[in-house]
Amino acid sequence: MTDEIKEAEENKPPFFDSWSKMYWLVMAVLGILILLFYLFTQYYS
Amino acid sequence: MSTIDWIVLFGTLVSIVAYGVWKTRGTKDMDSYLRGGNDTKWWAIGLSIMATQASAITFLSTPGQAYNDGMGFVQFYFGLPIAMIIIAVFFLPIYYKLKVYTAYEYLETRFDMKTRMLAAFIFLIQRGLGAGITIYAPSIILSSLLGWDLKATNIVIGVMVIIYTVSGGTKAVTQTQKIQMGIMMGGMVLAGIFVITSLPSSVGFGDAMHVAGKMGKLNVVDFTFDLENRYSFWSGLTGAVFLFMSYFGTDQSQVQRYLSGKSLSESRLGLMMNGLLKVPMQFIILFIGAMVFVYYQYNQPPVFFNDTVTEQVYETEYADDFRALEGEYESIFSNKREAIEDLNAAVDSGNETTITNAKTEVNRLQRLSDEIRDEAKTVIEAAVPGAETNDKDYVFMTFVMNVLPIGIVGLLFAVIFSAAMSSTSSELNALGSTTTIDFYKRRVKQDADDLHYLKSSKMFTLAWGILAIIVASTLSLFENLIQAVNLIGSLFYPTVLGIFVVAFFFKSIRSNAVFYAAVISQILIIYIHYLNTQGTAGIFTMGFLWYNALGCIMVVFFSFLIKLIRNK
Repeated sequence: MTDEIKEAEENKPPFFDSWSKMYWLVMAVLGILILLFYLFTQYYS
Repeated sequence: MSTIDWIVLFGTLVSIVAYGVWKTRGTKDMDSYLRGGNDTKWWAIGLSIMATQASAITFLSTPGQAYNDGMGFVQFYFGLPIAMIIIAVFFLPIYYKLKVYTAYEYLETRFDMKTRMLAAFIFLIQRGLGAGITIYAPSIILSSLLGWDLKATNIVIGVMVIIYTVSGGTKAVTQTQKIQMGIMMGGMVLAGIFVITSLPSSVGFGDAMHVAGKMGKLNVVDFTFDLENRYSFWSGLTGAVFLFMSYFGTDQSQVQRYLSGKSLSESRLGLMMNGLLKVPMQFIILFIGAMVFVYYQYNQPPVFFNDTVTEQVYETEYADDFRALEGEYESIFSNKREAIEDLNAAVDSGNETTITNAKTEVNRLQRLSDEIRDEAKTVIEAAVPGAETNDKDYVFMTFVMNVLPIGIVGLLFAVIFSAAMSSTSSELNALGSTTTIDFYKRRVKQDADDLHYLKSSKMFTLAWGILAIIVASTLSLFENLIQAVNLIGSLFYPTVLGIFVVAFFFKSIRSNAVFYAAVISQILIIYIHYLNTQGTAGIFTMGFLWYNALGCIMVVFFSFLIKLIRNK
């Protein structure tokens, strides 16, 4: 990890105490959406 | 369109242009012009990123895509949130640290001038072409629907964008995109409400969903692994990640949006906003297309959605053949409508055997309908040589014009024009910036004052705007507009992404290795695409989205190979 990236990670995002938690939120929302889309496809096909 | 619709349409468009010019009056330095003075908030960055990507093609083609092929296209966007995170972690901090105006400036710091020039040059070629398509795509459809001259429509869209983009630069683009996104979202939500309320009173929302689902229009996720399948779960999570990393991480039209942020955190939040909202937004647009499909299961659709072409066929010796097909199409429609009523009754009964039988019958009649539509297209080809027989892009606006109430029709046209303007303005802004910073300031005139570069930026933006209008006026229609844009991106992005990937992650690779690797990879990608179009690509037979992964990997591979050879 370069110095720029380390430095950037030290700035905290709003609502979370680290950027990695924000990224996990985005990935979790994507995972939930894919699961819902799968169930949607199964239910209506 | 009614007078009220025209007032709504022109009132909206003139207001956007006036707002953009007024909000950014007095821009007097290059930093404000190219980076928007670095005072943009995260939500405005997020909206600007989304508005840049959401071109008119998004609103014209996407519902038509769902109407014809179902909602599987949403899978293409599964890679977007992943790409946003990669860019936020690896790309953004470096851009901010170096305080660059363009992404390509970084490449000179990391490699050398020729690598920077190569990446900037590839960007100018593909984005220059892209800007032409961004204007042309809506023009071809809007001119047909509104009865306008095609070239005049190109000029109207191009000139409106040029006025505020040249005048206010990045800040004007961001300010107007906030309004344009509001219009786009509001318009589409209204369209969604109207399409559902336009269904017959006997058809509930649940019935509509079952009809769309049983007829294959609500198949969102497809886990089948097939390299030739353009839109699947796997291509969305692999090939599309590369495409989005290239587009959002290295395409100046996007990089410029988040480099205008107040801070690194604001820019990151803007990217995260896009990562969270883009997939649901595409789902909603596709869903509207699926509901338009249901509407046309209860209301007779035209056999061909482009009325202008249909009128041309009526003037030829093929008119009788075409009318015969229309009659047959109407007859199948009546039978299909009855079969759909049976399907709804079967779903209500809950009996699986009855549901399966009803579904089989509906889909049999749908196939017959599709065959008639194909025959009609063959007649069109013979009657009007050179006419475009792909009518997907006309489906949604035909529905809007024929079904939606006065005022809303004008608003929906304003949505399409706004989308065209928002993406074109970002493109012209980026083309002007890259020409000024990466070529003019770096190679032609290095020691001029700020005012000189500000004027140069405005001149280059204007020149690119005029060129985009000329390109738009000389294009001919692609099979599908959204695919034309993605194809051009997939041919050129992977090389640029490969250069950036090497720059960020492989510190031992030096400039000559990456430069020659990029040139070789670019030639190979174009050659592989040529072989694919000829059907002779052998093991390289693939949908074009996979070029993004392949091209990027090739740049990394050849960089290491050249380094190895040079070290021997």
